[in-house]
Amino acid sequence: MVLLEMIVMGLAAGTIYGVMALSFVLIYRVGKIVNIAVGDMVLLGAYLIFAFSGLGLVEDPVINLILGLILASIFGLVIAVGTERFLMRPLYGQSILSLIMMTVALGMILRGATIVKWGTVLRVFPGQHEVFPPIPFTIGPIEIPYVYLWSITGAFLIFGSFLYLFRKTLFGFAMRAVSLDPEAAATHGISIKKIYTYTWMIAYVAAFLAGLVLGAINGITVIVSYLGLARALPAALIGGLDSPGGAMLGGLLLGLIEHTVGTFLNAYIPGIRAIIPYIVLLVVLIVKPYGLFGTVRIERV
Amino acid sequence: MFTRRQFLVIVGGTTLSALLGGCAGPQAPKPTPTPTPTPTGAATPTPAKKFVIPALFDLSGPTSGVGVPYSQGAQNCTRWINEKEGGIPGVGQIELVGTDYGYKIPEAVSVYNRYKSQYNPAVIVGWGTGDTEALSKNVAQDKIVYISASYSSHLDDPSKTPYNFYPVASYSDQARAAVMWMKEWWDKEGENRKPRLVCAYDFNSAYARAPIKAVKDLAQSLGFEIGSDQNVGLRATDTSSQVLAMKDFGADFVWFGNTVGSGAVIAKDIKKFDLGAILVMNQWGHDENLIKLAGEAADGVHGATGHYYWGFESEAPGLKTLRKSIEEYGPEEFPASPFIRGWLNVRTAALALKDAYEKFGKITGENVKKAMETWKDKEIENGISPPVTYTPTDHRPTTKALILKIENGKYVMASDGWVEIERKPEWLGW
Repeated sequence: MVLLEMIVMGLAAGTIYGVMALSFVLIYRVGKIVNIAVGDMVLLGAYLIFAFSGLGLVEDPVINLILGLILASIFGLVIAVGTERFLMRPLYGQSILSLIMMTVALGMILRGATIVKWGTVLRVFPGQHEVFPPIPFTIGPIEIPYVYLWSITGAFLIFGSFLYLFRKTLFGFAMRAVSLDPEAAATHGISIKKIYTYTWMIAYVAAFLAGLVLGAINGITVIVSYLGLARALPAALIGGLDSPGGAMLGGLLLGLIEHTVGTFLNAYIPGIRAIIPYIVLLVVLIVKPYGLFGTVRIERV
Repeated sequence: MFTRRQFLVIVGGTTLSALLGGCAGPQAPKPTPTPTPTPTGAATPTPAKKFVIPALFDLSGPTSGVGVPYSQGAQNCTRWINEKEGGIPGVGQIELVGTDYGYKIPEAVSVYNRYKSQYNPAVIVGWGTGDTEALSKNVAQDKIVYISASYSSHLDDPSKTPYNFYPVASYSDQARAAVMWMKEWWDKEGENRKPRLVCAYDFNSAYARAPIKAVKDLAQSLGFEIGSDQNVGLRATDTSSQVLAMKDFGADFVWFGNTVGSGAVIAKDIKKFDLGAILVMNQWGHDENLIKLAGEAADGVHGATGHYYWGFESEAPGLKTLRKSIEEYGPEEFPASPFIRGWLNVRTAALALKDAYEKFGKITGENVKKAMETWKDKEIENGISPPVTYTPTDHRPTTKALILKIENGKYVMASDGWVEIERKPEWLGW
C-alpha cells in the first residue's frame, strides 16, 4: 500500500516538475535559448499570485486563488512581451552564450524585483489552509496532499491546452516551423518575433502555475526559485531539451523515481533521495545524450 | 495613435513600474541601511561621530525568511538605543551598518574584509553558522568581537574561538535541554520500554549538523534508542521517505534541525503518515511562520529556544519594549520571533561596548572581549533570555533553554520553566 501511495505521490509531484520543465523546454525548442531564469519566473509567479489573491476580489478562498492565478498570468503575458522585446530580441543572431547570459540577467532582474517589492519574509497565500488543508485528501487507501490535486489539475490543463495549440492549430504549426528552421519559416510569412513572444508567454504561465504549487508547499520565499531550477533542469534534460512531451514525461519519471526508488533506498542509504534525480539524469545522458525524447542530431564531420 | 516603438516602450515601462510599485501586496521590509563611509577608528569615538557596528545579514538568500526579521530586530534595537537611551554611555550614538551577503560564505569573507579595512571595528554582529565558523580564525587574529546569530557550540570554546560570542544557550545546550525534557516526558507518559529518537536534518548544513552529536550523546546516555539519521534538505518539498523510515523504526521523538520551510513539510508528513512521534525543532526551525505555513499540522510541534517568544510578555517584560519599538519604528507587518534574536544581539554588543568603555576607557576588540569575559549573570533585556555569564575559558552564555509547544496555533510552554543543563567542562565546544 505504501508503494502504491508513493507511486501516486511521485506522479503527482512529477506533474509540477513537468510543468516547470515545459516552461524550460519551450524556450529552448523555439528559440534555442537555455533559460536559466526559469526558477526566478516560478518565484515571480508565486509572488504575483500572492499579491493578486491578496486583493480579496471574491470571498471564496478557492475562487480567489484561481482569480489570483489568472490575473498573475495576464500580468505574466505583459512581462513576456517585455522579456522578448527588450532583453532577447536585441541578441538574436548573437552567440548562444550571450543569450544564456541574458537569461541569467533576466533571472536576477526578476528576483531583484520580487525582493524590492515584497521583501524576503516568508509569506503564505491568502486562505492557504482553506485551499490546501494540511490534512490530505483521501482516495481509498491513498492520501494525497491537496496541493498535489491542484498540481495535477493545473498540469493537465496547461499541458492539454499546449498540446492542442501545438498540434492542432495554425499557430502550433507556425511554432513548429520556427523551431525547425526559422529562416525558412520567415520566408513563408511567419512572424518569428511573434512566435518567440507567444512562446515566452506560455513559458511564463507554466512557470506561474509551478509558483503556486511550490509556494503552497514551502511558503513563498526566494527558496522557491532554487527549487524551480533544481527540478526543471533535470526533468527537461531527462525528457530531451527540445521535446515538450518529453518534458512532461521527464518530470513524471523524475517524481516517480524520487518517490519510489528514492524512498526505499533512503532507508538504507540516508540522504540518497536528494541526489536520485541527478543519478537518473546521469544514467539517461550516458545512454541517450539527447534525453529520452530529444532530437538526435547527426552532423557531418 | 502610437507608433510600434512607442507602444513597446509604454508596455515595457508599465510592466516594470507595476512590478516594482503598483501591485497589491504587503509592504516590503524596510531596507537595511546601506554602508556609509563614516570612518571610525579603533580609538575612542568623538561625540560627533556615530560608533559603527558592522553587521552581516541574509536578506536575499536561503535563510532570508528568518534573516529579515532578525535584521529588523537589530535595526530597531539600534534606533531604540540612540533615540530612547541617548546612545551608549561614554560611547555615544551607534550606527548599524548592514550588508546582505545572501548566505554565501565567500561573500561573508569579502564583506568582513571590507568592514575591517573600512571601519576597523571592535564588534561585528554576524549571522549564520557556516560563515561565522569560517570567520572565527579571522576575528581571533584581527581581535574583533563577533556576536553571531549562530548559536553553534563550536563557537563557545575560547581556546579555539576566543572572539566569538552569542547571548543565548547554544544549539547543543538547547538540544540537550530538549532531550532532558523528552526523557522526563517519557518517564511520565511513555510506555515501559526505551524511548526511540531519530534526528532529521540537512546533512549539508553546518547549522543543522551543529547539535547532532550532543543530541545523540546525551540521548544514548539517558537510555534512548537512536535510529538512523534522516537527511532532509533545507529546501525539501516532500519528506515522506524520511517519515516512513522513522515509522519503520518506531520513533517516539524526532529532533528536527532545519529551518521553517522544510519544518512545515515534515510537520505535515508526520501528521499524514500518522507517525505518532513528538517533533521537536531547533531554534530557527520554528516560529510564527511555521504556524502560518503548516496550519493545523503545526499543532503539537515542539521547539527548543534560548529566549521567550512573542506571547510570553508576562514572563519576559522586556518583550513589551520590543513591541513598542515595532509600533514606533515598524515594520508594518508584525515580525516573527527571529526579530527578538536580532534585538538581543545588538543589545549584547551595546552592553559590551559600554562595559569596555567603563572598564578600560578605550574601545578596542580586545577590551570588549575582556569586558564581556567578566560578565556574571548579566541581564540582557529584562527577562527575555536568561542572564549571561562569560569567562576567559568558557563562552557558553547560559545553559538554560525553554521547550515550547504549538497548541491551537499559539505558543504555550511545554517545559516547566527553563530547563537547565549542567555546565560540564567536557561539553564545552560541542
